Parts: sequence; structure tokens; C-alpha cells
Amino acid sequence: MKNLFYLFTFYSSIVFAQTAKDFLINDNDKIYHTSITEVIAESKNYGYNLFRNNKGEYFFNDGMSNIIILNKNIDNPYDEGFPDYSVGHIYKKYFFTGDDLTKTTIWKVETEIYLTSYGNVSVSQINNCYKKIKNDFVKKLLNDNYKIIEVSNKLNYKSILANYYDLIEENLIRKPNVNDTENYYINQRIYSIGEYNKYEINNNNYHLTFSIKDKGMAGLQEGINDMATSTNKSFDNIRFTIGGQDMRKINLYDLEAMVKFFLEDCKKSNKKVPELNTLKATFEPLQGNLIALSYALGDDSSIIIKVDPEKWANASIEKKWYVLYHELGHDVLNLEHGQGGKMMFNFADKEYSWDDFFKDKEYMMNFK
Amino acid sequence: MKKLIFLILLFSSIKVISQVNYPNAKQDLKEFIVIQSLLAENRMEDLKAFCVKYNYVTETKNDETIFMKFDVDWKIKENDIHAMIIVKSGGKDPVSDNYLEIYFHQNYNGFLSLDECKSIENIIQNTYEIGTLYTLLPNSGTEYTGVNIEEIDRYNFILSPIKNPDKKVYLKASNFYRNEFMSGNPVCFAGPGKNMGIILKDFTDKHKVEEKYVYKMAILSLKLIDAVYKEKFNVDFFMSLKNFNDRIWFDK
Repeated sequence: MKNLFYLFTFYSSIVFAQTAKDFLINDNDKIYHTSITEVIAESKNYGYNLFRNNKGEYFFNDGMSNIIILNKNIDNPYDEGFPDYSVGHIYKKYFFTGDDLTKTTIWKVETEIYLTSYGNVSVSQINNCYKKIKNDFVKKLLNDNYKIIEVSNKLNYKSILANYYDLIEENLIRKPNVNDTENYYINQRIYSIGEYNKYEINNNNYHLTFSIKDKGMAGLQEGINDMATSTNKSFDNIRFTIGGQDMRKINLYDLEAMVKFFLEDCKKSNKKVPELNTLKATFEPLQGNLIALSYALGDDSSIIIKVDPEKWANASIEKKWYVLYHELGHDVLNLEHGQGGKMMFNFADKEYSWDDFFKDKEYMMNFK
Repeated sequence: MKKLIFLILLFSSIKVISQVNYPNAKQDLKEFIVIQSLLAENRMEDLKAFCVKYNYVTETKNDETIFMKFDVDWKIKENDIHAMIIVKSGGKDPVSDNYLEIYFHQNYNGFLSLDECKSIENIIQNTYEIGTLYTLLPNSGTEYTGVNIEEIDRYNFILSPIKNPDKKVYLKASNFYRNEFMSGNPVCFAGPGKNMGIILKDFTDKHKVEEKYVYKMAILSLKLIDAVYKEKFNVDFFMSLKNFNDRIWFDK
């Protein structure tokens, strides 16, 4: 019985060792934590909720890392040290690798708080409170034997709430007493702190952000991100270029040059390009909503396209190419509406992206 | 004296081995063929997935796209030969628009000695066997007159002229063959996918100033009319084959 009581006390002391304030600032303890599920469960003790978008999704990826966001209204009974009667919100963003939420590696935690100044809570109370949170956040790191190695400033920092902080302080910290190479790198962190208190009419919100990330993991994630950006750019370069010509560099008011690019695209796609006697692509006003119109469907020796100048001028680059490919789908490939997929639909029903263009073009070019 | 010759020979052979080491030649050639085939079929998403799976990093410089293999396992040793692939656009009929220009380098130095260039050429050529295009074998419709034909098996034949039966010619089916109809008689690969074949052309260009050379290879696809009706290149199946002739592709 005595043992059971001891075990219970010991277990309780583990579970309740943290306070709401600890959970708010002890983010470094979460770095290399392997279960997001446990973090979510722990956050419930302090009133946090898992943020979901309007589709109900809570697991996000920003192209660089997996992310979840916890949020809560600032209110009692949790004592994070905010002034009495405070009105505001806390957001905590966890960046991690791995798709199984019970087997992850958290590599960055970012927090953003905003408090509203009004009759019961003054600006100076908020400033004092933020000063204390910042001090406690840094003090905890220094108590954990980290030493500040390098201090720098980062301009124009975009936060969780998409606020732009003019300036945040960024510090590289390291545990100096670690000798072996592996731990030397594992124990390097970067923490950032910044405040944003731009006065807005009817919105006296004062923001504080702080974050901590593992230097090695952050470098790796950023490296992967750079590689992905470079890869996308490289593949874009290939898909936009035919016959050594990048279609994005073709003058969009030189319709013949655009038609010639289409013909090169047909050759690339192993489509038979007929010998042309007539290539006439001109700007002429068209009635109704028509942006362009083809006049040589079924005549393999001619391409005759008329383009409405006003609607053309107002169309995006993607839409211009999409519409022109549609008309040439009639003139060159002899396709009717209903043949060749979405690109040959009766009308241009939306703004197109380059992805729409390439996807629909591929279908049209491979249409049997 | 005999001992001296032996030592000289041993020394020369060690020198050659230490100069050029290209253990990934066969795998690289397979990957070049896949990249070229996917480009010719305009399959950008599949090409992207292939590059991720086989650890290629890409970079765009001066409007040209460069692919380089990233050695994730740190297996490539110093002095090993690496390939840098440049994707080109502007190929004219009968070759497809996109083609590859591949530069071979050692320790990021593309300038090699003539011997090193020859060694790379030999290593690459030893990864495949040049033979007879399957469609030129007697059993696939090609008529041979004035010869006796002995069929060993489906892919091997012995031809002997009736007038001179001792002058035997062996025909062995291979996906790699020399194209006698093209200038320079380049090696071609009669493989899968929507193409008539893939041309492999290699060049040894002399550096202008020093006694240095650049060894490069161009890989181009021969266009196929009515490609729409042909099966697309099956990347996984092709990559799973151990040898280039494990499947004779034109034997449908």
C-alpha cells in the first residue's frame, strides 16, 4: 500500500510538474520530442485546442515541413502571468518530420501571443508582461546550460498570424560542455524573439512572438526546401521550353509567333503538322464574350484565327495561351467541342493556372 | 628483362585503374535512357518522381536544366567518374525536341587526359553488347539470299554464303546495334516506349589550350509516327532488368 501511494505520488508529480506558464515557454523541451499526439494531449491540460481549417483539417504542410497549430483564448483559470482581465489569444505552431503523429521529430516550435489593451488592461501592463515572458523564455534556456554564441537581427519576419514584424532578434545558442561531435551539432539551437505593436484603429492588439528551432534540423529542412524550389524551377524550364524557345518569353501580341510555338509543340507531341498555305492570326473585335475564334476547322492547309484585342489585353498570360491552344485545337488538330478534353470545352470558364494549361494540353495532345 | 617487362606492364595497368574508376556506368546508362525516354514522351511528373527516387538534384543555369546525381550513401570515392546531364531543347526531325548532353567528370574536373576519355568510353561500351537489331534477324521477316541460315535459337543465327561456306557470319539479337544509315554509324538502343530508338553519340573534344579533353555523350530519341498508339515507357520494369538484353524489346 505504501509502495502504491509512493508510485501514485511519483506519477502525479511527473504529470503535473508543468504549469500553464511552463507549457507556454518551455518549447526547447519539445525539440526532438517524438510524439505530436502527446503534445496535443498535454496541451489540453492548459486549455489549448487543435486548430482546424474550414475543411476540418488539422495536419498541414507548408512545403517544407509538417505542421500542427494549437490555440487558446487567454482566460482564467490558467495562470500564464498575464494581467488580470486580459483579452487575447495564444498560438503555438509545431514543425515536425514524419507523417505518423506518434513517431515524429519536432524541430521547431513557434509561439505568437496577442493581448488587447482596453480599460482594464493598459499598454504598460502588457509591455511588462511581455518583458517577463521574454526574460523567462531566455532564462530557461540559459538554466539548461545553453550559451549565446551569436546574435543577429532578422528583418520583415512573417509570423503565424501573418503579421510582419519589422525586426526580430535571432540568437544562436549552444551547450559548450559537450565534447563529442554528434552531440555538438544536436545541441545547437536558434531562438528568436520579437514584438509587434502597430497601432490600428479599433484594434489595439499587441503581439509577441518567440520561437526555438534545432539548428541542424532547420538547416536540413531549409536545404530540402531549396532543393525542391530548384527542382520545380528546373522542371518548369523544361516544360515551358520547346524548340529552344521558352514560351513565357514570347511576345503575347505577336500571334504568329505564338501559333508557331503551338506547331512546334505539336511536333514535339508527335502530331502531324500539315503544310500551311495560309497563316493568318489577327486582332479584330469579336462580338459577345468571345476572346478568339478559329475559321479553318477541317482545312488542313490554313490557320485563320481572329483575336479580340480588348479582351486579349485584359486576359492573364495563362489564359491567353489556353485560349489560343483551344482555337488551334480546332484549326490544326481538327477537334470539335467535346473532343480533346477540358482544353476543348465550349468556353473559357475560369482563370487558368499554368498547371491547368499543361495538364489539359497534355490530354489534348494525346487525344486519339 | 622478362621481370622488367612484367613490372612495367603491372605498373601501367595500375596506373590505368587508378586513373579512371566508373563503377556506376551501367546504372547511369540505364538512368540516362529513362530520363531521355520520359522527356521524349513529355512526362514531366514521372520524370520528377524518377529524379526524386534516384536522387538527382536539378539546377537551372542560363536557361539550361542540369541534372546531377546526389550521392546519398556517400559511396562514390575520390576519382570516380560522375556524370552531369544537361537537358537540351531544339532537336529537329527525326529526333525529338529534348535531348541530353552528358559530361563526364572526375572530382568536379571535366578536363581529362585522352587516355582517361578512352577509358570512360571503353567502360561505358562494356556495359552493353552490340549485336543485330531483332527485326533484321532471319526469323523476323528479313530475307537473306545466297546464304545458308542455321538457327541456333530465337536470337542467334549463323549465316554462311553458299559460294563460300567457310566465311560464317554470326547474328546475335541485341537491343544495341550500330545504325549504318546514320552518319558516324552511332550506337542505337532499340528499347521500349514511344520512340523508334535512342541514339548514343560520344565525343572527345580537345581543350583549346592544354593537352586536355572533354568526354561527352549525346542521347537523343528518334521520333515515332503515331506514337499515340504505342505503349509508354515502363520505368519500373526497365529499371528492374539486370542486363540490357534481358528483354529484346523489338520482339513483340
